[in-house]
Amino acid sequence: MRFINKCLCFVAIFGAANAGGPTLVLLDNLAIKETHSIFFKTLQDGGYTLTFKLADDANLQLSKYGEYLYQHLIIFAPSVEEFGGVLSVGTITDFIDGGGNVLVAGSSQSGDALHELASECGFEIDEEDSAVIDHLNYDVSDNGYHTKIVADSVNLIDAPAIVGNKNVSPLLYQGTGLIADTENPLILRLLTASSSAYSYNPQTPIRDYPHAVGKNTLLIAALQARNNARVVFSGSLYFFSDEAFTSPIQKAQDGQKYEKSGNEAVATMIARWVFKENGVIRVSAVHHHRVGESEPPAAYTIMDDVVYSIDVQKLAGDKWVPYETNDLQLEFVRIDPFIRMTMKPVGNGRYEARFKIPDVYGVYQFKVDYTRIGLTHLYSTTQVSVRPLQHTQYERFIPSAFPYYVSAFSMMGGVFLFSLVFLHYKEDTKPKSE
Amino acid sequence: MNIHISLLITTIGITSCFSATEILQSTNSYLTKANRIHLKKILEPGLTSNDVTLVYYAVHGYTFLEEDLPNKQDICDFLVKVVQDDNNITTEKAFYIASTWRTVGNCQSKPPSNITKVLSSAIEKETSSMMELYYAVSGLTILSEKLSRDNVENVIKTIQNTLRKDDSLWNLSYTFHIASDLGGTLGFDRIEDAIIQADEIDGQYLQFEGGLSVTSFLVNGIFKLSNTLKKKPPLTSQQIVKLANYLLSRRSVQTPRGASSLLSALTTLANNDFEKPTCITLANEEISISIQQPLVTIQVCDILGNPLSNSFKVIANSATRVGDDTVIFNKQSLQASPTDKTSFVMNFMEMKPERGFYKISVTAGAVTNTVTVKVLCEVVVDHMEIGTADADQTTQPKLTRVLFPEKLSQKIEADSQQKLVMRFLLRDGANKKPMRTHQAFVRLSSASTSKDDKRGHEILFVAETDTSHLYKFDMPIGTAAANFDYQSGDYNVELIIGDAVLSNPFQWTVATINLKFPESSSIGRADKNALYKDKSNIYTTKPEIKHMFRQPEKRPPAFVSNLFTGLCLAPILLLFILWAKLGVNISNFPFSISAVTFHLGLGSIFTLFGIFWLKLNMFVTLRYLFGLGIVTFLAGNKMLSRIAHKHKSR
Repeated sequence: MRFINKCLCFVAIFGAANAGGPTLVLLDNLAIKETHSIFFKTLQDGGYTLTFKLADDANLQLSKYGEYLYQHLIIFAPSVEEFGGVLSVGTITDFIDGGGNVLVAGSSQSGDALHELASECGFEIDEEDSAVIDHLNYDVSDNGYHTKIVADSVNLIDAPAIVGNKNVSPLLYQGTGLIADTENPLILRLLTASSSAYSYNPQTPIRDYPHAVGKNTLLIAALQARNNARVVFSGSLYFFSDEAFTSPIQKAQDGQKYEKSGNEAVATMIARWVFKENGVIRVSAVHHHRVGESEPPAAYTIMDDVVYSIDVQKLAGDKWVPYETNDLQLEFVRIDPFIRMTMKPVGNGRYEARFKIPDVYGVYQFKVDYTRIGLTHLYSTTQVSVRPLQHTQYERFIPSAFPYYVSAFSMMGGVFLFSLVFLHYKEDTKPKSE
Repeated sequence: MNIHISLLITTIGITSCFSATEILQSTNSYLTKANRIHLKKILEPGLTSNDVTLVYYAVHGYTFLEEDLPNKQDICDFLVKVVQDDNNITTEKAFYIASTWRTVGNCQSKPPSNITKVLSSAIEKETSSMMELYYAVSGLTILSEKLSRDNVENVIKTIQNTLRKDDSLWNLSYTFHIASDLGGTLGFDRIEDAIIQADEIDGQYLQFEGGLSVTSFLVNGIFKLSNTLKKKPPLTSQQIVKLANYLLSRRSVQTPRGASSLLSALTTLANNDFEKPTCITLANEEISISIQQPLVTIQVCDILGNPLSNSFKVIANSATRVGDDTVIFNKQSLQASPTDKTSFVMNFMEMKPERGFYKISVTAGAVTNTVTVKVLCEVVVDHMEIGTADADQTTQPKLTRVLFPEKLSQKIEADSQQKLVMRFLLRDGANKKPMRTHQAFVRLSSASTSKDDKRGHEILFVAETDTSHLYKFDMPIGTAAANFDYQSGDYNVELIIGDAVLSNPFQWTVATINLKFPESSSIGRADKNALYKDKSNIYTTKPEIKHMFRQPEKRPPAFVSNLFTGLCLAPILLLFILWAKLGVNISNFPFSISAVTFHLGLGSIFTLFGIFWLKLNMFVTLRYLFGLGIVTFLAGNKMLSRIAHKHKSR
């Protein structure tokens, strides 16, 4: 009864709390398993169970009896035109809708299946045969058409949760460009090309405006869907290869030579992010009560002073540790937010807000809606009712109301005395009449 | 124009088809020094490992790399220790120990006898698997132990039985290895079965399902068996080249096992007696040819990078320009380099080639391969003019010349009625002909780098050429405004010129231009912008909201309220005064219970109202009131009836 108005609801979808998980790897041919062995080995060492299959394998399936067999999907099969088995672009989007994470790498010869999948996720892979060309930033080991480009690590997204430390050696990239709508807020531009790059078929002269030019050319892009499923698209399968991981890198135009490209570091970080090892946060506890109390009341009264605190945790390895930040905001919402304030960190991942409830009664929510690049969406609402003042809670002894008080009480006193006098008055008539 | 392009596409199509069906005669790569160092680095930790398997891979790998083992004695000691410590040596382990023992070479004593015992017992056991048999037979062969005739027959029988049940690639390759050790013809006819199962990738590589280890093991098995039988294996030279291609593509292998298998298979292929794959390739993958570096260096070697044993001539059959198929020469022999036996050099610039990509078909002995080189040229900016003109083309554009690396000193002003005009001509530095480049972009970027917009507002345009290769770039500012998001201000105009065949691509800041866009007027745009803004900032903190509390109403001053309080009190005061004048009394008060109760009751009801005003709520008040009311009512009733009675009786 006491808590009948109280409704606590957390909407936060977590990935598995432990790192790793069953992962399906789709390949064009089994040689890719060997040419990308370092990348796969890092994943296996990280606790992932990789199942390698050809992308056109006739027995492919993602789910059985309505349950997903895999948590993650890696598609390193650029040229696949149609997936085998019951797998199709539709089932993969369903998989993403069901919270599965997908890592896709394309190449200059990307097949229809990848084009379709990309557009389902809000990207566009440039036409077949087109490659990202950068005549000013290409590697010395380039094959002649300046398509093995050197992507500066400055062009990585500003999100340590996704790409780790930005201060790494440049990155080797060879593949096609991606295009994404700049107005889509769910798309993250993990790696962009430099201003002098463009995506076109290197063997034909430019007749139309290239689809992707300059910094609009996306090399690696990510999508974190509203259900926190993560999808990463790379236009280059080569980016993840052993060769790119281990080879030295040097811009052909008088560039500095680095012994090892930054690919391994960045690819590992991106893989850890897309498979939800990094950047996963959750709400572990929510408390709210009046100042000076410790339990939440059945209902708040308008203009109460209230303390709201929330504990936020971050996944580190397979443990949840306190998450520290200073920009967590609390909203007190009745249809529209009445109050929005930044919460004060009080240590150990706990954030606190103290405020006065507005002087409007109704059903409110304490709402924490925290979306940051690279982090899962943190969303917690707690519903409380706020009622008006009880009649005893209004202000008493208002000077301007004294006339009313006085008249009421004088009337009461008057009635009392008058009744006494009126009923028991003894007329003292004798002396007067005589 | 269109016909020309389609022609071009068809020719490209034809050439690419042609090259796809072209017979592979040589590999394009070989095991370079860098590869050897990489492999050695992977094998190195194995030498000091505590795992016999790793030691085996390392020792074998080193032998194939022709590297000296730094710690032979340690390895011998380690092997002896393993044999002594481990009571239960598996066949596999025994083979590794025996093989390492033999490869290291100078371990003093004979290998411990229990190794031989383990291996022999595996052969005698009837339940041994193919793998165990292979280890046992090879182990014993390495130790130069002869197998008895019975044993050999047993082994052959087991193999035949197993193959009938399961002829997987691994079993087949075990068969080949065992057969070559036993010297029988067993399994030679099955080589074809194995090769049929190979997968071809991109028409270039041939591999067996399962990757490097099985491919390498099979290749070793096939050639070992063929060598023993002195019969050519049923492999075409194409297949050998494709196998070699596959193996070479795996040079970046990361595991000691892989490195060892790769090296052994490559060595087998390179040293086989039947058909040795050759490698014809560009030395150091140096495909760029320019006036500074006019030499094409062709490397002809075997797949391990060693010079070929037989003498041969290296001839460049032809060089064809990619794109228009111009043949610039036929039959040109290459000079052997005096320092390096594998290198052959030709001065390509002597033919005065145009810039572009060239396919050179090179023949070395009986083998032909095609290598691609590109001839670079230097681009020269002939002239560059920049300026503004009226958008409706009524007046001649006012253009200013800019010299190549300089920047125009004055700022160009342009408003929405005008257009930005650029005219420039590029020339080939060698033959001074006007040229077109693949990339000729004009980039406009905001000169003041605002921090809130990280993409830094850059807009790129493609400059187009006319028939005389003069580049033209017109940008009507009014229509381009939407691209710039109506942000007026200073912009840098840059020219980016690049091409695969340019030795000096550049990005040149030509001038600074001040663009004045019209104010964005349409409401639709504003709406769209609002929506965009709303969406774009989901990753940042939102503005804080403070609730505005209702202001308390204004109250009259205390004096006024006190005055009125006084006025309200006036009637009762008046009552008291009048009563005092009249001389009230309550002498008629009947001291009965009912009278006292009534008046006390009435008084308490009023007090209750007072308390209700102060703290009680209505329900509690009503409860009290109910009790008090009944009592008061009854008492009052009785008292009043008594008073009435008194009056009547009077």
